Amino acid sequence: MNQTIALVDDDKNITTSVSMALEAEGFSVIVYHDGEAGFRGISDHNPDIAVLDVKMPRMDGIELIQKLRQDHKTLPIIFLTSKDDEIDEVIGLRMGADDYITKPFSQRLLIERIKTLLRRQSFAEGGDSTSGDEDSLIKRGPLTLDEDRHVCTWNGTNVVLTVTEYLLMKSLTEKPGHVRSREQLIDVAYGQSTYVDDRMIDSHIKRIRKKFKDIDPNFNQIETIYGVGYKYENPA
Amino acid sequence: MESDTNTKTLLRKVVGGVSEFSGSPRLSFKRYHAGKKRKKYHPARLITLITGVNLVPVLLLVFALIFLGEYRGSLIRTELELTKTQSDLISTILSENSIEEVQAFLPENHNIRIALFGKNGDLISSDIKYERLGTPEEEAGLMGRTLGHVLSAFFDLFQIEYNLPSFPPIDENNLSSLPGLENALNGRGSLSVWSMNRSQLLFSSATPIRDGRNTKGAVFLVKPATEIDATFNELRNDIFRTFFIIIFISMGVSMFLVQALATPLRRLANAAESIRYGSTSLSEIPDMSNRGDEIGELSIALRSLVQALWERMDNIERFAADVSHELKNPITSMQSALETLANVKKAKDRKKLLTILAQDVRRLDKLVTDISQATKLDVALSREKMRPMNLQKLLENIKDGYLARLDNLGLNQNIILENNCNSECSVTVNKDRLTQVFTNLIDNALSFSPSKGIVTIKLNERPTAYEIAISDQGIGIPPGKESKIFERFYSERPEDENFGGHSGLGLSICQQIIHAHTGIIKAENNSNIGASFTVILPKS
Repeated sequence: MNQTIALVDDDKNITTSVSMALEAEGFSVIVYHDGEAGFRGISDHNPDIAVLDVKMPRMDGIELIQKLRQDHKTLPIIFLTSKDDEIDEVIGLRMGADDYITKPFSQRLLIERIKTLLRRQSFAEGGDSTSGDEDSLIKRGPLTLDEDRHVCTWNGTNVVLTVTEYLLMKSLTEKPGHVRSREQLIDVAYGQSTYVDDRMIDSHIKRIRKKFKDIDPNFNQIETIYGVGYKYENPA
Repeated sequence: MESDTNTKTLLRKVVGGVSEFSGSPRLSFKRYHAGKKRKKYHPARLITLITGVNLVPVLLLVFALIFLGEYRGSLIRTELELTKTQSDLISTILSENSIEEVQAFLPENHNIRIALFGKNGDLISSDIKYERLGTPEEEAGLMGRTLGHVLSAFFDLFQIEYNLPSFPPIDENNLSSLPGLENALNGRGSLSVWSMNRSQLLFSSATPIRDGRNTKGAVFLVKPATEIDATFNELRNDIFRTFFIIIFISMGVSMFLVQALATPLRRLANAAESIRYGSTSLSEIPDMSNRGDEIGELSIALRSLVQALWERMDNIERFAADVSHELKNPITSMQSALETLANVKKAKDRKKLLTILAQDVRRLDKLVTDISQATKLDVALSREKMRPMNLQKLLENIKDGYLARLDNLGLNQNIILENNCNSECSVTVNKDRLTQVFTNLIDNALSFSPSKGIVTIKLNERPTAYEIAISDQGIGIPPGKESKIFERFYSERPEDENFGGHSGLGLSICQQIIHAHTGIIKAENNSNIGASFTVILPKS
C-alpha cells in the first residue's frame, strides 16, 4: 500500500516538482495550496505524513498545525520554513512539528526525513513497546540511541529529537571524546551536496542541549571546542 | 571530489560572510563603528561662553578704572590751578604789605605749609616740617591692610604713570635749597607737582613777592594732595566694591545658566552621541519634556527621532527578512525542479519542469525589480516634485490607454469611467507615481475579473477630497483580510492566474505612494460582487 503524503504549500511550482519527486519514490501525494484547504483535506483523507509550509495565505502553517493537532495527535508533520526565526516558533514552542526543513532544500533530504519519520511512526504504532533490536541500539552510559526507530533516551527518559538533531547526536556519540568539526556535522545532518551555514549547527546543538537539560539539569556532555567544533564526553 | 569539497568550503565562506552582514542590520551597524574611536569632547564651550559674556560688565568696570586715572589727572590739574592762585594771592598780599602783617593772616591749622623768604633768600618764617608732608598711614586691621595692599597693587596696574620726581629731602635748618626758590628770588615763579612716598602727590609753588619791579622776597608753598587722594580713594573703593559685587552676581548668573542650559544640553548631546554608536534605547535619553522650554522641546524631538530611527531600523530589518524569505520560494522551486528534472524520463514531465524553471526565473526577476523599486520609492517620493493636475484627465487617459491595449493583452474585459465630479478636480500630486497606483489597481481588478467582466472607475467629489473607487466583479477579498492585503509580500491570487506574475508588493507600493500624498487607500468587498479599492486624495 502506498503511503500518502499531504503537501501543503501555496507555491504551485514547488508543489509540482516536489510531488513529482515524491511520487517517483512511490508515495502518493495530495497537494493543497492554502491552509484552509489543507486542514479540510488532511481531516478527510488521513494521510500518513504531512509536509506544511509556514507562510501561506488564508491560514498559515502554524495555525494549521494547532488545528490539526487537536484531532491528529500522532500524525508526523514536517515544516518547510524559510526564516531562521520561524524554527523556534515551530519547534521551540512545541507546536507539535516532528521535524523541519529550511528552504531551499534538497529533495533527497526531504525524502530521507519523510522516510525516517514514517519508520519511527510505524514502530510506535506497531505495538512494539520494548526497545528495538539489541543490535540497533547505541549505548553510551545513560544515553541510548535506537537506530531502527530513531529514538533517543537519557536514563530511560525519551528525549524527543528531530531527525537532524538525532543524526547530529549519533555522529557525536560514535566516538566519545573525539571532536567533530562543524563541517563534519553538516555533512552528517544534511548530506554532502547541501550548503548550510555553519551557525545552523550551533543552533541545533543549542536546542539539543536544551532538550537534554529539560530532562536532566546536570547534562553537560556536549562540549564546545572553540574554533573547531563539538565533542561528546561520556559521563564519569 | 576534493575540488567539490573546496568549492563547498568556499561557498560557505562567501555566503556565510554575506549572511553575516545582511542578517542583522543593527548588529552590522554596531560592528561597523566598533573599530572607530569615539570622538573626544571639546572643553565645555557653552560654559566658557556664558561665563565670558557675564564677565563683560566686569570688564567695563576695568575700563572705568582706566578712566579713573584720567579723572585723577583732571583733579590734579584743578588743584594745581588752585595752588597757583593761592600762591599768587599770597604773593600779591605780601607785595603790598609787610611780611609780618601777612603772617598774621596765614592759616594755622591748614595743610598748606608756607615758607617766606626775604630779598636775599633769608628765611623769615616757615612751618614746613618734612616728616609731616607725607600723610600718615591709616590705622587698619590686618585684613584691611592686606586688602589695602592687594588693592593698591591691583590699581597700580591701571594707574597712569606720572613719572613725577620725588620731592627732595629738606634740611629744615637750611631751607634755601627748596626747589624753585632761587628762580623765585630772581623774579620767576614756578609751580611743581611731586610724588611723595611713591603714592602721594605733593604740590609746590615758589612765587616771587614783588615790590613794583623789584623782588623783595619769595613765598614757598607746599601742600600734599590729601583731598585728591581721599576723593580718589573713596571713588576707587566704591568701584572696587561694585566690582566684587558684580563678579559675585555674574558668577552666580553664570552658574545658574550653566546649570539650566549647558548641563542639560550636554546630557542630551551625550545621549545623541551614544545613539550614533547604536547602543541607546529610548529610556536612556533624558526626558525633559516637563521643562516646557526649548531644551524640553529638543529632548522631545530627540526622543521622537530615536523612536523613528528604531522603527525605521526595525522596518529595514523586517524588510530584509521578508525579502530573503520571498526569494527563497522561487529558489526552492528551482532547486526542486532541477533535481526532479535529472530523474524524470517522461517528455511531458520534463516539459512541465522546464516551464516551471522558466516561470521561476521570471518570478525572481519580477521580485528583484519590485523589491528594488519599493526600496527606492521612499527616496523617489521625497525627491520628485508634486504638481497640481486635473484628476479627470488623468483617469481618462489611463482608461483610454487600457482600452487600446486590452485586445493586445488578450483580455475581453471592459473598463468604464464614471465621472461624478463637476468642478476642476485639481489635486497636487506626483503624476507618475499616482499613475502607477491606478495602473496597479486596474491591473489587479482586471486579473480578478471574470471573462467579459467590467472594471468600474468612479470619481466622486467630497467636501475636502476626491474619491476614486476601482471595482471589479471578481471573487472579492477573503473576509478579515481587507487591510492585510496591503502588507508587503501578502499574496492572494486567483487560482488560474499566470503564476508568478506578482510579487506581493503591488498594493504595498500603492499604499506607500498614497500615504506620501497624505491620502487614504482602502479595500472592501462590494455588497453584490467583487471588490472595491478606494483612493481618497485631498483637494489641492
